Amino acid sequence: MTREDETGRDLAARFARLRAEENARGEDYARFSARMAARERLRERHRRRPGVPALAAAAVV
Amino acid sequence: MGLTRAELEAGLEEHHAASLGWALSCCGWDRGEAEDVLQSSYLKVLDGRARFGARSSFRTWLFGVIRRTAAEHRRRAALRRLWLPLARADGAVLRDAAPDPASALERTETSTRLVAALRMLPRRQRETLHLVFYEELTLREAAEVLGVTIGAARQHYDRGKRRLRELLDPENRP
Repeated sequence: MTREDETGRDLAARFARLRAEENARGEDYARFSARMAARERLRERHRRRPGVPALAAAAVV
Repeated sequence: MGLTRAELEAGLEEHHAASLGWALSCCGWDRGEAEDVLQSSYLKVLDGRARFGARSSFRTWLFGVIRRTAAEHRRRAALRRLWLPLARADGAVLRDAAPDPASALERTETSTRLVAALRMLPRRQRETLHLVFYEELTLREAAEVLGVTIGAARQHYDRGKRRLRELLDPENRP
């Protein structure tokens, strides 16, 4: 297996750590979907009001 | 026969964490962009614009959808940049292509260095390494996601691994 040399093992450990950090701060599918839906509603509302920074408003959701 | 909505939802739920990791990689670790891409990908899956044909595993198929969606977002962002002067005049706010600082702040030094080094690799090499090491796919599965031959995937993998090693540990540069 190509992962099984010194470089491969080192990289596997680094990626595993990164994955653990990302997973620790992640949210489950249901929460993600609900947050995205709320963000989309906000964006839509701001799209109808020209001049309002939609992405800035959406970022607080 | 395709999957039912409930089966698709279950598949998305099961692979959500891995999908977010893959979307982050496809978007250069910009969390806001990755979340947009993931949301668009999920919508495509659920409304039938992307259909699972069972020619590969659900996960490799889903990763392919995410990868193509990220490419579409990049193309749209490039077009928006062309229209930037007009958009500014119109009062719109566009997201900068740079990664969001909040993402970097929450990572350890080791992971921050890894992400910075990954950003310096050519896209194919970065994607292949992510799929093999982060997502723990085989090279064959990674090749399926990327839409390349296994020989090409192996080449991206070998070159990327060597380059990443050099970037992370410059003293060991040949």
